Amino acid sequence: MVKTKWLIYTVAIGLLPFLLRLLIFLIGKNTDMEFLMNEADFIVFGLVLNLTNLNELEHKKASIWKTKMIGIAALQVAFYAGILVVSYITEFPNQNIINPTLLFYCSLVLSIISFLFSYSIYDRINKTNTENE
Amino acid sequence: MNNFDILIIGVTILIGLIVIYFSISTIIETRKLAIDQYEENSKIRKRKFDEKH
Repeated sequence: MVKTKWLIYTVAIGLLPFLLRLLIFLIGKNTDMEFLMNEADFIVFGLVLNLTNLNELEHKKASIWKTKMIGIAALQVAFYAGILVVSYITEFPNQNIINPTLLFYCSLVLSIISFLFSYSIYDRINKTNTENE
Repeated sequence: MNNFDILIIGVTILIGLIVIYFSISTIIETRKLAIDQYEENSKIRKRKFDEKH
């Protein structure tokens, strides 16, 4: 049940910007792949997943596992915030410091990894009731 | 590819590997916990069955 709620409320809502962009891409006639490749959508998805992880773990009993997971989630939130700033810098005209395509692929890979991480946390919460308060 | 690109790729790989390691270790640990819980429940059920018969 916890995992189903996570899929509906967190994953689906987190992916909403990308899904809407995909919908517009499919409906629109003059859209190209660059329109679909927006790093900010995946950065937001990663941020949503990790902030939900932090919120969910907050209510669990103290353990080494919980501390580790909170640490990793906080590390990811910090990194996502950093690359979000970098992605905004790419919108400056005539900037040639950052490669937007590279940033997109990095954020895509990281968001997939964050999905795996979030899945592992909710899988554990779902299967074990011993850590619940 | 400039130094900034290399920095972003490097940090992404580093954080990615750390997160993958912790995710997989959590999944494996959860599987073990689930198996232990199942075995314990089986023992309890068997004991109750033996007590009845």
